[in-house]
Amino acid sequence: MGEGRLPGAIERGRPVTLDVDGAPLEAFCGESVAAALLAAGRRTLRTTSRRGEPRGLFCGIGLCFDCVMTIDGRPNVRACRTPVRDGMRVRTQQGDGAWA
Amino acid sequence: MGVRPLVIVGGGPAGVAAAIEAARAGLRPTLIDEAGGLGGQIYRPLPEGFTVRDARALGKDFRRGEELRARFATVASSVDLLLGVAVLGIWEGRRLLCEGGEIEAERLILATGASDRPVPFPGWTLPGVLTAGGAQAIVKTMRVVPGRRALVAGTGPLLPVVALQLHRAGVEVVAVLEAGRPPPLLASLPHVWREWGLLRDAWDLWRGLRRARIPLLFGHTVFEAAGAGEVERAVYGPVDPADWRPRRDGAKSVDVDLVVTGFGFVPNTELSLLAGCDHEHAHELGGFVPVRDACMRTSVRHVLAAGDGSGVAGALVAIEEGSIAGITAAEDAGMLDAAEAARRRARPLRRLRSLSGVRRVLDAMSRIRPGLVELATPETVVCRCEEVLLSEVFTAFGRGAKDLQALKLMTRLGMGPCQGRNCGPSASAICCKELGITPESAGRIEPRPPVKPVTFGALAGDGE
Repeated sequence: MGEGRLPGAIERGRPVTLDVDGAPLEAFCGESVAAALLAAGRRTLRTTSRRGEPRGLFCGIGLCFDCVMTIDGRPNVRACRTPVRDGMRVRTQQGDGAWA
Repeated sequence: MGVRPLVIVGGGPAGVAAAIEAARAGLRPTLIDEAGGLGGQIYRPLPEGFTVRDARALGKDFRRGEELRARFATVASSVDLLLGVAVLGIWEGRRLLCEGGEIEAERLILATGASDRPVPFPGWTLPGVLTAGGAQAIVKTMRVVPGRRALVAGTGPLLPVVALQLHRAGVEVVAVLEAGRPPPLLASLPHVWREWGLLRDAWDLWRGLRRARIPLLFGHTVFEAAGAGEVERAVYGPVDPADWRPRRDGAKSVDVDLVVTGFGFVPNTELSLLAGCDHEHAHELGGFVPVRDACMRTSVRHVLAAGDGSGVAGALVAIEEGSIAGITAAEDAGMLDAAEAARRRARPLRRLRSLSGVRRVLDAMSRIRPGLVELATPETVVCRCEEVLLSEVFTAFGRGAKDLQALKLMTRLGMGPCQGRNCGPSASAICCKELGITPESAGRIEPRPPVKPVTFGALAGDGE
């Protein structure tokens, strides 16, 4: 189930598989993209446009826009507020990103 | 749908309490929240798809949230609930632009909540630095562990709460750094003795940290997060007791992969500003807040405001303010006569008076001190969206910038997708310190609709 997930207390939704930068990643319905990546130890979600610096989850509640990724071809989508879906294509975003 | 008699923006403690009282008085509210469930940030429900196996293991706040949602359930049939809908702007104090269309309201209660106060320090943009609210959301709601070894720094009662949540999730918490000094116990008692429940919470936290062997260092904070691409270590040390400036001669380094910072909260005032309400700066309430009377009316007729969005004071205060706002809205709509409205407001007003003592004590410890801006070095990013460095802010000062608006025009600070939520409060503090001006003169980064980035499709309501 991935070592980053806490056991007990809750039952997660059904398992789904994401495509993260071309590699499969198992996640569970109800999780955000950021949570699923964090559970797999992935903390860098994008690099910035001006200085090329790595960024990840920061505010975690949808306000800071630091966790944006390119999801299903659409750039600048907040990973912290996007629930996982089976077959979802998640890409580490470079700079401003591009529609794909 | 035509004009709605009452629209409440925000489904946290204040908004839900307001909806309950308005519905009880026979005024049908429409309750809007961006999230998929009620509870706000503090009482956030589990995501759709998760089911509870052991509610006790989810902690006190989850239980309190369930209680609030259960109270709401008793009036739910008298409320129009719009979840998963962000409010993007307000015109004429009553026309709301939402994702998916426009809503017109006869009266409005703004219960927009607060968000973590960002404090820039070297390395604070590295993956592995999380706000206290963000760490809570990940652990409490997603049930995912954000790191292995953590340093928790900032100020206020949320720090030990987060530290213990991390500890229970298996994270090794190396220390909790509280920039303030402990409240003097004897001098505090007259202000807090009526609030036994809160005193017990505080005692439980203190005992919890002791049991978990997590050191709580007063008068300390984080100086720097560092690592190759992600957080690998942090530097921390003592701060000046008077103004919290870092005392770098006492700095120490510790290997951690997670730095959690919580320097209190800033009210979310985008919508009250767009509604045209008068605002004033109140340091102890987190910054600029709408001016209100005791019944929660703002300076704009038909617009009321309640909870942390109109002055940070926590969930218990938010519930009482929300109740008062709901009652007042019903009175203003003619559903309650003045005597009955006053009778219904009496109990929540009494609770607010009692809670204000606790607030005074906490404020003495946690009021943000000006020396904190010295954590940032010239190379530190101040505006995370536009990657504006402190040195660029200094350059703008040298070229005559005297307030936030000028900084924005000269550096792009505050022009990114977060619209200045992340840099506004700290840039204001930098202006005040460097230019020797007041927060009122530093001004604000004025919100513009849409207050959150949105596609044209979502505006047009095509279901995007």
